[in-house]
Amino acid sequence: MTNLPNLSDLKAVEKKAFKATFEDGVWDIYLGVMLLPLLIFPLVHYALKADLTWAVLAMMLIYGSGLTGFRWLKKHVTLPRLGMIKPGPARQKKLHILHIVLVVAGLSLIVLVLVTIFASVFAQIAVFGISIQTVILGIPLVFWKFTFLAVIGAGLAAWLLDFPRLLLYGVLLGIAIPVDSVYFSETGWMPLTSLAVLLAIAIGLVYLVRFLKRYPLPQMEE
Amino acid sequence: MSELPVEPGEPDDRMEFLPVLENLDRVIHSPARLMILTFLYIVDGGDMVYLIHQTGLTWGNLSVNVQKLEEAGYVSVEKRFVERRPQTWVKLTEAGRQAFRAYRSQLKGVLDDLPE
Repeated sequence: MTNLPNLSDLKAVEKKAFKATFEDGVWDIYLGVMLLPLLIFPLVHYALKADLTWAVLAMMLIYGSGLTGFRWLKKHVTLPRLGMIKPGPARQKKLHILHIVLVVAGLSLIVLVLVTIFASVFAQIAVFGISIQTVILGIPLVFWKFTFLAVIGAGLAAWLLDFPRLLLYGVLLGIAIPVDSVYFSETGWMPLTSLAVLLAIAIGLVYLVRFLKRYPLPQMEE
Repeated sequence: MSELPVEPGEPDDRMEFLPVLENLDRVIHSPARLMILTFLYIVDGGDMVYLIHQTGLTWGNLSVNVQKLEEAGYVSVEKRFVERRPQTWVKLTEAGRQAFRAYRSQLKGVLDDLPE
C-alpha cells in the first residue's frame, strides 16, 4: 500500500511526518520518569527521614536510568522503524526556538527552586517588620509561579513540537505542584503529582505497544 | 461519454491545459517517484527507512525509483555507516527541488483550470 501525499498542503504533510516521532510514546514515558523524583525526593528525605545525600542520590539514579532508557528506546526501537531525517529549515527554526524556551524555562525553574530553598535562610531577618522570606517567596504565590512556568513552558513546547499531550502534562503538573504542596504537609503524600506521573507513563506504554504493532521492522536489503 | 459541442473555428478553452500536461516532467510524473520527492522536499534529507515508512513502498521498488531520480540528478544518494550500521542517506538536490516546484505549480495550474 502506498501513501500518496497531498501536494496542495505540504505543511500538513511535513507536520504529519514529524508527528510520527511522538507516536512511539517514548517521550511520554521519559517525562513520567523525569517527574518521578518529585515523588521520590520527599518520600526518601521527609517520610523515610533519610539523609539528604541519599535523597539526591536516588534522584540522580532515576534521572540517569530515565535518560539511558530514553536513548536506548529511541536508538533500538524507534529509529529502525521510523528512520532518520534531518528536519527542513522551517522545522529547524522551530526547534531552535524550542531550545531557547527550554533553556529559559530551565533557568527560571532553577532560580525558583534556589529562591525557595534559600529563602528559609532569611526567615529570621525582617526589614520594617516584614520577613525577607515572605518578600522573596510571596507565599503562596511561589507555587503559582511554578504553575505558570509549567503551563506556559509545556504549552509553548507542545506547540513548537506539535506534541499536544505535553500541554496536558504541563497543566496537570501545574495544578499538582501547588495543591500537593499543601496536601503533602498534612498527609505526606502527593496524589496529583502521582497521577501526572502514572498517567504519563501509562499513556506512553499504550502508545509504545500500539507503535510496535503498527510499525514492524521494514524488510531491508542493505 | 458525451462530448460538449464546440463551435468550428472557436478555440476550445477546456483544452488549454493539454500542452502543459504533455510537458510535465516524466521523471517526477509517477506515483512512486512523486511520493519520494514530496517526502524529501519537506525535510533536509532522510534515510531509506524514513522513505519506506512514509511512502509504503517495498525496498526493491523504492531502490529502483530512487536510482532513477539519482540518474536524473534530482536526488543525491550517500551510503554510509552510522554506529556500525549501514545507512543510505537520500537528499534532494537543488535541481530536484526546482523540478519538484515546477511540477507542482504546473499540475496545480492544470487542476485549478479544470471545469467543476
